Amino acid sequence: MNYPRLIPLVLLKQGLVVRSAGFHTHQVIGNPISTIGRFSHWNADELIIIDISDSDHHDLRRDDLQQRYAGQSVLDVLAEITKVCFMPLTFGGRIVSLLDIERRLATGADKVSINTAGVDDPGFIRTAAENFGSQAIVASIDVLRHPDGRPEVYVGSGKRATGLAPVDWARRVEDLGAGEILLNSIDRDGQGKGYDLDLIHEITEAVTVPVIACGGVGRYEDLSPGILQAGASAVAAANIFHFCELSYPFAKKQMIEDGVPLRPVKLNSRWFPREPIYDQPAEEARVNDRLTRASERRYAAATPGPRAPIRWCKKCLYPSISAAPMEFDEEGVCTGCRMSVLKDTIPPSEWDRRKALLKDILERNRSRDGSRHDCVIAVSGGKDSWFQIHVIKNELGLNPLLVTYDGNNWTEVGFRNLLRMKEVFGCDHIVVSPSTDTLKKLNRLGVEILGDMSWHAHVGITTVPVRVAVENKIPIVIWGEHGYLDLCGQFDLDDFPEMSFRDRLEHFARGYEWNYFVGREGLQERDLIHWRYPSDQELYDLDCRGIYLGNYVFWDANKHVELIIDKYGFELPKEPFDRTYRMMSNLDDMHENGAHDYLKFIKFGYGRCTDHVSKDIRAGLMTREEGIELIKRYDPVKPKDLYRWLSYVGMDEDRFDRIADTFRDPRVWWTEDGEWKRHEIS
Amino acid sequence: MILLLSLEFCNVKSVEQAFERIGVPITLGASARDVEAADVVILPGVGAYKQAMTRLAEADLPAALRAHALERGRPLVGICLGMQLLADESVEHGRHAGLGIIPGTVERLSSNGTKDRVPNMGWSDLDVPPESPAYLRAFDGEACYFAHSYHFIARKAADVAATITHGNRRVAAVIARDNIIGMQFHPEKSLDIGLEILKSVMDHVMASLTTGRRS
Repeated sequence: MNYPRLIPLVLLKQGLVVRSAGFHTHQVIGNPISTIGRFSHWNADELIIIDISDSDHHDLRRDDLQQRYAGQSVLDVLAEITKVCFMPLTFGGRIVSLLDIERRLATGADKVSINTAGVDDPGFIRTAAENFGSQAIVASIDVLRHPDGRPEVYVGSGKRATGLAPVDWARRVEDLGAGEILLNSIDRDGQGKGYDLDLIHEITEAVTVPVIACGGVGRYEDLSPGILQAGASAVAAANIFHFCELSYPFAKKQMIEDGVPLRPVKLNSRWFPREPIYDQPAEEARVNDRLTRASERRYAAATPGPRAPIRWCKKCLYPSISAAPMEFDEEGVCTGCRMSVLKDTIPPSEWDRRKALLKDILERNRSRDGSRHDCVIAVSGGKDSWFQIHVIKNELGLNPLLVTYDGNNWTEVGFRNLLRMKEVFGCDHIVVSPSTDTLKKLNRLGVEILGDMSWHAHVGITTVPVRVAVENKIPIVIWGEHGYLDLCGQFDLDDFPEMSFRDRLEHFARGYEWNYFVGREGLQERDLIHWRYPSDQELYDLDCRGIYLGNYVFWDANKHVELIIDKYGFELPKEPFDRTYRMMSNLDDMHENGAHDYLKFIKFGYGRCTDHVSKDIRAGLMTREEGIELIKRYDPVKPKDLYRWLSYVGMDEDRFDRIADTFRDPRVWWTEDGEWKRHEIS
Repeated sequence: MILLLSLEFCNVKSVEQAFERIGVPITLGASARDVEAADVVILPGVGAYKQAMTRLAEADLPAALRAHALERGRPLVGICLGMQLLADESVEHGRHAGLGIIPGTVERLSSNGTKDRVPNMGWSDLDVPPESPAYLRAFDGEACYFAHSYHFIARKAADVAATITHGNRRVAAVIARDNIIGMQFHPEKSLDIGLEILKSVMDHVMASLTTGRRS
């Protein structure tokens, strides 16, 4: 007797985790190391990774990430994955020879899945099983159900019909020696409508080897029928595990409640601590090497150019080499623009449905007896904060607790807006202010280590509200809009992504967890309490969710500002920023639109003005030509607030510039007669 | 020195990572001389029996491993296929001699009329009887990850230290005789509990080494 299994399936494309729909649309979700590490923390039964790259070439997109890996081949990625994967691993994709199998097994896979190569040459499955044992050979079968209901096996990433009936082919692969069948529905992929239970049942009845069902899971409730009704030995799903905190344990909880006898949920692992274990001597050497290069003015990008041309989105002005996960389609239009068009076509009735979903979530989680607040709203005192409170308190009538991380970089107006919220809205407000000494250290370390003084802010802002929620047993934290969803269309609108530890570590912390800083500049554990995320067990016990209001309420920043000014007297600054024409953003942190953004320009050759212009072009507020003018004017500006920062943390400008120059991306920058050059936007 | 045998059929990377996690230093090697120099030998393995024995024979390892475990009485730990290789013979795709270190044969699993499938792929609860060695007792009832179509049938019941139930029969999960220990499951892929077991096994064999030296 063994337990039924719940198996996350991860799609890898060019070294990054992607989300898939219909076997053809692939959006980048993130880095495989942090994604797969989470499944080890969550005690996952097993894992399947399918490599759908079209070649051995990886692009991690930026040089300031802690998580990185050398090499360009799929085996290099697998070797890194093996370091964080302590559950059984099936690795598939692009496997055509015995050598391919041997290498994958030797590098950390326990099984390999064979798809196209097995249909093209069934003898390959037989030799593979003879050489490596049946238990190591999984036959992956992709099935398309035609409109007339007839199922057919497809190969070549679901593109080539084979004429094979799934049942016949399943029996055949079993005879050939495959030890397991991974059954995937092409027409259900990414649809979220549940498994093709008839298909799964037919196959489980036809063979004696274990069958893994896959394709179509949209809700945790979709999983159990694969086992209880269709007789699969295991159920797998991909997209659903990427979007919510503790997705795997909560999916398991649901299945156990449905009556599937799974291995119990287990968190807070002894051997796989959630916070990364850093090789500190190696990290020390890496940081010192950068500082040495800075002092000797040795810069990776300081070689003769010009570089390969950069592409800019044909509609907005987003560059192909960006800090954010962004894809371009055949017409040269970015996923962000596509998402924005999609968002505009959402009818009001859909927004009504979404708002009802929001109300339902909030209603189920509100305080029944008034012993705690109904929810936490993470607020910086800016325009989004005021709008969030407007919706939650005044439209929906809840009793929120406002929580703010104080990074000690307020603009005057931003600080006034922050303090006035408790008055204007009549809400309780907790402001968490870390010691200035610690903040200065983190500012300096941020620049030296990752070329960004705002690590403390990005991680503080995404950690403090969750800490306060857990401390006060408040199960809902409300965030504004999902930055990447809006800016670069990272997810599908139906994904409803929520805040997660992985997102925080990967995007906001760029792989640098609080413990990375222990021992640097004399920082101790006790100095970094505000940056420590609550444990998985605490989050699970509280069933704590971090939802983005932007997934439920139509988000139009320009309209929101009008509303909060008219209705509540939100204050805009009189002085413009140096690096953008927008007056209404980032009033909580003077460096966010200034020195922090200047560093982004140094790294990638574009800045916040590009972000703002792109959003405004999508909103129909300006033309592409007007946008280009603004970008040329604002993106290269060295801002005045940098001098406040330098005197605040005690660094001289020359040292700052040299460190910054080590971060210049060689794909963007080159030197000519000692001057930095890049392709100008056009 | 703890030697992790690294032949083609050994899933070295995974096992190496597991040892790193539990903080036990290992050395990689694949020759008879490496075995002679080792205090402890770890024999991992995935794949087919015949090919694995052929590779061992090509490297002159069967005699070296027998000498290590049986003559010198030093610890030998087999994992998955590495555990099955300890037997006298296997019937996997024909009849093939094993290392003959623990008396027994390797035979095919059968669902035996139950719903259990072959290969046995997944997590099964260990049944560790009270008379089993102390380093295993704590893991009675814990689930570990199995992926196998064949199983070890020991000639002496006392050599079976833990079992699972498959096809209505008791199937060996751990074979143990003195310092020779074989695990059918994959401790390196059984998450927390797998590493706990691996740590416990290694603590036991390392301790036996020190007592052995003292006497």
